[in-house]
Amino acid sequence: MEGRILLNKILPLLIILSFLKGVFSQIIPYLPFDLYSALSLSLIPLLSINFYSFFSLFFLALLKSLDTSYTTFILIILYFIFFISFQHLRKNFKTETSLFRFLFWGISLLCLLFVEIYIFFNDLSLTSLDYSFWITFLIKIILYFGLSFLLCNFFYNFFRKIIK
Amino acid sequence: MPKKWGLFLFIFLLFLLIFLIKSDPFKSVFGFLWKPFWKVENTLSEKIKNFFSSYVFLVGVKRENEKLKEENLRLKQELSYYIEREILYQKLEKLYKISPRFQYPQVVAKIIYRAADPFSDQIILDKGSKDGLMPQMPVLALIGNEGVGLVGQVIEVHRNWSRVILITDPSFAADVKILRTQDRGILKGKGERYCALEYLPLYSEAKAGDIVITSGQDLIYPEGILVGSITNLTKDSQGLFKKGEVKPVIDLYNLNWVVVLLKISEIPM
Repeated sequence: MEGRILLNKILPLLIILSFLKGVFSQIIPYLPFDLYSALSLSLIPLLSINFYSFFSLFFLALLKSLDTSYTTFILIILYFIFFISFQHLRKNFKTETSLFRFLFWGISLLCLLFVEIYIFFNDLSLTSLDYSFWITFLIKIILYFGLSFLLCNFFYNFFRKIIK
Repeated sequence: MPKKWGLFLFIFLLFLLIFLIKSDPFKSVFGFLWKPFWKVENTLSEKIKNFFSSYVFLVGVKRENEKLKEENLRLKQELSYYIEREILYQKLEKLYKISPRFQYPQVVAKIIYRAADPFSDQIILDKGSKDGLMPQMPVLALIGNEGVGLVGQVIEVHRNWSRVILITDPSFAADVKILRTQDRGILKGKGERYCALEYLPLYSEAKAGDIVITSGQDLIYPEGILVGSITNLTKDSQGLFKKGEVKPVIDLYNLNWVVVLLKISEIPM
């Protein structure tokens, strides 16, 4: 994607989406998906290596970091790794196929989920947890992965239409 | 010579990496720039909430009464506006002098953002280090007209905003005691609406419905802050302690204002 398209069309949209997320997160106690990771993963297959691409991922990592207590630097590194690895895979695989995209999103979301779960359990004492906790936790994981994956697909198709 | 430069560069990058991970300057600067957005988001979401609570439920009113209802609604809205202002004024007045028991300076802060993450419970306040906030400070809120309850703890402070973990967040822990039996235990968040109560002595006669308050033994929270009530209590898997669940006394998801006690933690961070 050309840098100018990204700057003129996608970045204002990201700001609007972030604004809407902020409004709804005050009304609904839990949003069971990761909006910023879904946005960055859906953008990655459309981006080519240029300054604006890195800037947009950096911007998304900043937005995500404000939502959590993780260090921004770790999120930036994670998003950049996803982006650079996708660019490398482009040389050897047919990355345009939907199967490849789904695999890429699935693996990336699993990595992000792993980080989330690691941080979650790092603070948690396991002795007090009962069955209802594990059931809720399982539902949370399934919703997080499933909804974020669907959002990736939705945003990818949406962005593809916008940049045409 | 090039080897020396390479070594210098490596050491510089290493220091830069440690600095970026430790102090996180990006978040501080970006949060400062993003604060007006949070404020607008907050205002808008409050308006949406008010709209749904005061107008939408009147859609099904019969047509012949519409004019009267509209007039009534207008007057009600006007009245509710003034009542709301009055309640807000009373709340702020109380929040500024919540209780003479807490001999610490207090800062009233508005919640400007709620991080609705499935794995954590955190809020962002509009007050920061320039108002005297520091990490580990206790955050409280009003319970109706009765007193104050524990909301959470400040964990991240920037110049004009700060992050607070709620008592339901997995990284939260506090030393608490049962008001009736005076038995001590540890209260922990678990990412759900109720908190976990652990390490309660086996001989404890506490039961469901008992009030839980802070003990003050952790040197972070002053003694006697209301936390919640026990909903159930059982033996833990080893059979050495009792464990249970505590329902927070404060509705954590409908908070607008909180008060931060400017109590510096007595234990080093």
